[in-house]
Amino acid sequence: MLQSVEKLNKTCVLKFTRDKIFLIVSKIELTELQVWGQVAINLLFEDFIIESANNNEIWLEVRTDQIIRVLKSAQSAIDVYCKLTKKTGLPSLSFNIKSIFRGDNPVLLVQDIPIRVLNMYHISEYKEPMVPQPHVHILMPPLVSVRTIIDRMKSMSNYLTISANYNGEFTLKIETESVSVETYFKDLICPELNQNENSQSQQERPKEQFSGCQISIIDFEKFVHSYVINPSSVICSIIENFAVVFYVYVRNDMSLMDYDQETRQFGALTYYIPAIIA
Amino acid sequence: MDSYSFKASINNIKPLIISLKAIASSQNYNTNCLISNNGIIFSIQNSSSVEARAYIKNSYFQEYLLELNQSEDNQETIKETQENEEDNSIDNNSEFSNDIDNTNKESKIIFSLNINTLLDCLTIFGGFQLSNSNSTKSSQKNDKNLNSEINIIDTSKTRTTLRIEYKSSTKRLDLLLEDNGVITVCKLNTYEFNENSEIGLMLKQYPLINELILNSKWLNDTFNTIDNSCDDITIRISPEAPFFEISATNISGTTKIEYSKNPEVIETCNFKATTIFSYKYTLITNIFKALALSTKTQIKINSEGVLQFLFMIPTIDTSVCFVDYIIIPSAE
Repeated sequence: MLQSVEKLNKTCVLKFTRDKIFLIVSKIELTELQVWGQVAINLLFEDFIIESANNNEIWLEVRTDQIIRVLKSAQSAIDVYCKLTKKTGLPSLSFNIKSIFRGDNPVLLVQDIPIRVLNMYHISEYKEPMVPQPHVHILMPPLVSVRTIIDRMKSMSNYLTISANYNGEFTLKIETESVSVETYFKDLICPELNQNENSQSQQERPKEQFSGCQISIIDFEKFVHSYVINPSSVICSIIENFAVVFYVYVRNDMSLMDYDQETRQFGALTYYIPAIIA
Repeated sequence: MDSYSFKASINNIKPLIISLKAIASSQNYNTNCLISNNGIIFSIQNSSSVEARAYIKNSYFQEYLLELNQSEDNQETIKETQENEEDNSIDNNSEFSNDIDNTNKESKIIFSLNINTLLDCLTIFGGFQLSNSNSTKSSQKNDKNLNSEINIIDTSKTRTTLRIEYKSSTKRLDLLLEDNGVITVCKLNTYEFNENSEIGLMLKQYPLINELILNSKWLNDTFNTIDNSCDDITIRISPEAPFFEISATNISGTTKIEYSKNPEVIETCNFKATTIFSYKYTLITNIFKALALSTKTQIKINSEGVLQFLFMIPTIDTSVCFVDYIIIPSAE
């Protein structure tokens, strides 16, 4: 998950609570795009202790590339122990990685990442964006195919119009004064989301009607980069002329048995992309 | 005002993309496009001395329909072509290439567009990368030489089909591409045809002196060997030995490459008189991409030294496509 958002910004915010870790990428230069992700603790860790004066929540700001590097070195470890400590006066996240190196020799590797603990003032700046009820949601076609298409489109235009309808159709369109390119995907699934208040308005809407939104093509490309997680499903939610929200559900390959009942997946990344009215 | 309409469809766009990539360069020049009954010709004039053309024969298309007006007597017949035996000889292209210089009123549609935009649209479902794989011989000599073997890597796993439409009323080229159920529609605006290309005329006006067909690999090796710091290359062709010679001079010395009349190297040749002409090296570099992709090259030189390279490039299976470059010699 960290690799998906690595390209967006140099740092990201991790919010640790009792039962979930939240990954937040926000306030990125030049864009209003925000990513909010979450992972259930019990799927990630065997033992988890958290204690804090702030309602047992801890907010940390880390450098994304550093934490990815540490986690990469821990990939083949048998045991990883992570602790929030103070090293040389600076708060840091300390990782004790025990692995077996070439035979029977156990190797203990210690990695420290300097972090910034956010206080109340900073925390108040991070608020998950509130979006109104979407006009349409649809299950996205495989991101790998979308990726090649977007690669070509981005050299032609800066703006992309995304639209979808309840008939399982999804389109990407760019338009400049010299060329217009539109790609249609069909036979996609429209997921049923249990939102009782919404069901009435959904029924009134004709199935073929498209709802569209214009966004920055670079923002969209950053979202498509999440194909690296190999998500189990990606849902696109369009709120006409306001924003597009993408829910990327991460699959947990390791233990298919114990998954969190609520999210039904390992975790999720939510991309909030605002509309551009040009 | 005549109204034209053109419709064509093709099952696999790979040959089209290969042809266009062989003449395209990173700079966005206006590319002339001519659609006639024989096929489509794309031509780019990079400078006042070089013109590159790609010939897309109507036989590539499963459906090819060129209509002029709505009246009965002017309607052209539909050319429903199947993928039958193609005449892959390099001489066969001459009738087609004459279209571009024809000024008579045979039905043809002319316009110009941006070839890189067109390629972006055609490759929307997957790129066809031209990769450089360095041959071992040249890698030791110099690392600044880029002209090595080039392969086309087809990164798309399924075939993309294309349908082209052009109407003179809208002056818009519409492309409908389909790949595995996903449809992309591209609408490109076209511009005026550039009439001021004299290079083609320069070739045709003067009598042809020498021509030969040779195996591209040898020509490719020659340009690999020639250091790219030279200003000009000189081509000498003669009915007496040495028959075909390419030489280049730079600060460190002169490189001279001589070709024998070995039929493995030079397939056919027709030399009437001795010609010695020089061409600026920077102009010659234009041909490298097409040369590396091709299997055979036909070289023609006329009395003014106007040089034409016609490249035969394999596309899918046994099919080939043709691309040519016309270069004006430097005045001495």
